[in-house]
Amino acid sequence: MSAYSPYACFENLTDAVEIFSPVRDKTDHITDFCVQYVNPAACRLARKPREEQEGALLTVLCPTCKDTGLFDACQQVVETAVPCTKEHMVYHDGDAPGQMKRVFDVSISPMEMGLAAIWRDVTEETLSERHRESQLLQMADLVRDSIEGIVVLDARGIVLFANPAADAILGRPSQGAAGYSLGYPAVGGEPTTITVRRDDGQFAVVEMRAIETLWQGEPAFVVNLHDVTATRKAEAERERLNLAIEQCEEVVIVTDPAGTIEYANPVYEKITGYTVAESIGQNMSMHKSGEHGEALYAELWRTITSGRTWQGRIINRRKDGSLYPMAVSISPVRGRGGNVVNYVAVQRDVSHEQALEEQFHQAQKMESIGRLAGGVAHDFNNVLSVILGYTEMALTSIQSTNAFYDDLQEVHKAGRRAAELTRQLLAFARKQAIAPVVLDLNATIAGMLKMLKRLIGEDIDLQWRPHSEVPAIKIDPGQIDQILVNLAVNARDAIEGVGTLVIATDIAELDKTYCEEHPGFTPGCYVVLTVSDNGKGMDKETEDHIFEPFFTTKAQGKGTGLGLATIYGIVKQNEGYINVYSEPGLGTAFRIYFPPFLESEAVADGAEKRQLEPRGQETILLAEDEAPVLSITSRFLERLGYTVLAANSPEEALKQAQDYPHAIDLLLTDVVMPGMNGRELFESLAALRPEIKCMYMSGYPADVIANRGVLNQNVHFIEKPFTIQQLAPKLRKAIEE
Amino acid sequence: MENESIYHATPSSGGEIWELVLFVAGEDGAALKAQAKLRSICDKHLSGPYVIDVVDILKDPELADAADIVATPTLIRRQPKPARRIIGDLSITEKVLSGLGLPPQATN
Repeated sequence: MSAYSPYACFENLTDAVEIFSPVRDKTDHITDFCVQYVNPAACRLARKPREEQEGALLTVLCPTCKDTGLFDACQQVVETAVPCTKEHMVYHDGDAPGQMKRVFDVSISPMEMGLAAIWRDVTEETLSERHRESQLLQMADLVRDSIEGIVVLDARGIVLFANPAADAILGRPSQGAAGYSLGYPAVGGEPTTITVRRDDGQFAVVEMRAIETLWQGEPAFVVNLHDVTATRKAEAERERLNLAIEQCEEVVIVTDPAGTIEYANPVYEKITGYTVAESIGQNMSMHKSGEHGEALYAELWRTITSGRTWQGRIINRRKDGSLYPMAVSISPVRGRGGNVVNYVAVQRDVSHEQALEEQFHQAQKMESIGRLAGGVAHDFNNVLSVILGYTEMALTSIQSTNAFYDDLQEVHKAGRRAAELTRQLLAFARKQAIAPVVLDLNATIAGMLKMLKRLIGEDIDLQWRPHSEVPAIKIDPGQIDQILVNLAVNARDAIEGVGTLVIATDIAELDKTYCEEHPGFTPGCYVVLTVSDNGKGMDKETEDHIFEPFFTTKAQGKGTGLGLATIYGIVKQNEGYINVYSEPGLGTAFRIYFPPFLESEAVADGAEKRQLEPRGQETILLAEDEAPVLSITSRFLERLGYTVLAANSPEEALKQAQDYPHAIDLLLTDVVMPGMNGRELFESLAALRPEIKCMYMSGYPADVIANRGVLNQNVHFIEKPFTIQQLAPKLRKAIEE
Repeated sequence: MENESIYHATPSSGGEIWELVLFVAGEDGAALKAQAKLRSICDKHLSGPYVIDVVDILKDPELADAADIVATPTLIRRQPKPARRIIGDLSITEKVLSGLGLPPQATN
């Protein structure tokens, strides 16, 4: 090219410039283009010298020009004279390794002689643009596939964009959350917990973070949402489990398969005396008490290593050396692979349970003894009725100068002693007939002090300490008498010389804790009678047996062993409790708890007025299945002036009542008889003779009186054995009422 | 928790009453904390009287429906207009002020 070429201006351009002129056929149709000029940049691009290119045809120099659309573009520019640009033309310079494909934007402009094609190398920009696009696509994929919810909010809190995870977290999985007003995020980079209300009505706990950003040039927020519902629920469950284990009353210990302690809950410290910290890493054998043989532990290990649960009772040793019984359950804990990874031991302190069991056995024993004693005493009373009755009859039939009079007196005395023994046995068995009244305990005791002082003698100082406001109690006054006399006599014997006996009354409120520690007690307010002495006291062994009948520490002949048993029976009969506290060498205190009488009833009258042997002439129907008792009672009644219809069975009594032509004033009947009891007999007779009155006699009223021997005050009753002196006034009372 | 209204007027109060509705879910610690925080912010940063209605969406879901509540705690500024809506536990005062359209250091 000459220095004066019109294309000289293209020589130094970095863009490749090619000038083509069209080649036409006869019909003026463009069939090719002839290269008129190429600048040095075009030579570098084509890797061909100018001489090879200028004058050559385009389709020869660039065989692919028709495929790439370059030819058509050139043709169009020539025909329309309108410039055009072909973007992203890829220039292939062979496929040899190392040859790079270049990308060009080709501007084609019309010229007088044809057209000019300017090739601008845009390879770098294109690659960079493509890279950016690829990155954006990758980021979009990441956002789309993220399990974290990503939301873009505008400045007012309207959702501009939400990825699928955010749609799901916000509970709008199908329609999407975009467009919803979530609100201006008053949160920062630290997570804030919100509760999401989903379209399906469910709630989700979500952690939310927000940062300010620009979205399409406007201020916006990118918000991250992380659904923590399951995590929080699991945490709450774990926390609940933890709290339950931490706070439960059972000891929970987790060991490794070798028995090394890995965990113990806080109650472990309370029960064992060891701290959890000092036990972690120690072997469970640290609790061995030595009370069990190795066979037990061998069996335990055999059971748990075979994958089964071992249950049983073990006596363990505390840190201070004391022993404690535990109900233990040890189970293997299997890991996901199925192998045993831990053992969990749940231990329950059964000291209290054992004490309750012992208490229960003791109560059962006392009940059995009571039943036996009551049964024997009942039958024995019938025998005594006969002995005493006939002895009395004989004594009244002979002169005191008679040779047998003194003998009979001795028989009578022995009979009375026997009757007293059976009465005590019945008291212990809670079968003694009582007539409870509401009384002022202080007044009742005050009235007995003189007698008690005489009983204990002058060497013993009797101190009386009443509580001024003790409520009334309901009890047979004679039972208070029995209690105090028995306790005073015991105290006197325990003091053996000079000492002090204190009788006190008080009010006690027994709470739940006290009752838990004293099995058998019921919470509530009680009137307390305390009788204490500073005598020799007793040991635990004695204490355990003192309420059993015929248990005595006194010398043979000095005690019956029934005193405390009687008191026990009386206290139980009156729904009270008795405790004994004793220290060998220091003394003993009995504390008796009576339930207070809460109704406003008059305090009991004084002693019953008794009339000696009042007589009568009425007709009495006597029903008694024991022939000797029937006989002696008939004779008592006849001696008192009554007409007696004696019947040895209820049926016989009914027959006599039907046959007897005159009035019958009273039915005197045994309570327990074969076929029909006394009450039923009276009810049948009352149907025949509505005017008839009734009086019951029994050695055992509890059989038929519902409240364990407590008589209805309206029922006339006499306890067997009775004397003629006891029978006479009761009869008059029953007839005249 | 009953929906409650609190009316507070400072002695020097004047201007428009702020009407705020706080939507919470249940009576747990988070709900109570949000209420306490909101009262504290109102006392410190509002120069005029304000009313806060607290709505428990567990008890009054229809109120949540009516207000299109997506999540709680959500605070709506009903008055003064324009209405604004804030999401979050209200623990960051600056953000709450910004959401309410108050300057960061607005005080009495």
